[in-house]
Amino acid sequence: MKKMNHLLRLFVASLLLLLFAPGLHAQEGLQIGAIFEKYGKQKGSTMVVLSSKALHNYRLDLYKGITLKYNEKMLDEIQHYLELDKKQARQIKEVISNGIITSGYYQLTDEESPLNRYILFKMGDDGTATLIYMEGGKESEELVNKLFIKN
Amino acid sequence: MKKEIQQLLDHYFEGLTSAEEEKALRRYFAEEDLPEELKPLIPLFRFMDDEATALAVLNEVRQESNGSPRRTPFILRRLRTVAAVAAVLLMGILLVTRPEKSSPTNGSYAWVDGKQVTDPVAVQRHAEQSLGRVISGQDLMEEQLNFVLE
Repeated sequence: MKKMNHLLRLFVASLLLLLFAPGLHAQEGLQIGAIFEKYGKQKGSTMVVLSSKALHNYRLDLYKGITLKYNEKMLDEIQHYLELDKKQARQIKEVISNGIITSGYYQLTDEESPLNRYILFKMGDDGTATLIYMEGGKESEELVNKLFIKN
Repeated sequence: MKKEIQQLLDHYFEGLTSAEEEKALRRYFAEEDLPEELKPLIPLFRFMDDEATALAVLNEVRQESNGSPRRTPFILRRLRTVAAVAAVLLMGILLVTRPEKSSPTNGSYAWVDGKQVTDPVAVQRHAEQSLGRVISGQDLMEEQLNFVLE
């Protein structure tokens, strides 16, 4: 019986680990993940998640984008999280208007990780804000820079 | 013989028969050639005979199982553990790979106004829209640069 319990516990633990491991990996250590969690499934928001198969041509492994109609509270939250996450950025390109980040590109590189991570943010004129998180191998850098950064 | 059986039957129905006498009755009713007036009692004694046989077998089984408790061999126990771990791993692999293989969206999806969208074309369209909103953000920088440099 003891052995059975032990096996059952092992089974449940493995199952939970397998179920949640990919979720833990994505946006690991980033604050903006909370925006996707909190507002992604909300009315008035559009959240898109693309897996590696759909992103093969972009050399990316994950794409998460959210466009939401923001209010002051949401905007404060996004700004706060962007400020925190950009501390990890190796490359920053942003437009700040009246003390608010209206457009931002952040490339985050962890030397210990084989992944490049990117955060893009833009406030639209129509009261919407778009936040994008992408991750991919080192080879994604050139393509992402070409696509999003005009040199 | 017939009188003797009749006496035994009388004793039986009065509850006075010994085990030996009941055995004799069962033996008698197991025979084929019985008087017509005793035939209605055949099922009773044949049933008892069958029951006695069944009980004897049951007792034998009980004695066997009560003898020494059977221990599962060590190798079988090991095999069970390995099988359980293998099953967990297999389920894990299936869980991890399933969305990629079975889902028509290949793990891509969208949530629009609180509703999930899994149609790959629609998902792609929403992704392009969100990308388009961000890419257009670079124009502002260009505009500012141009304005300053003019």
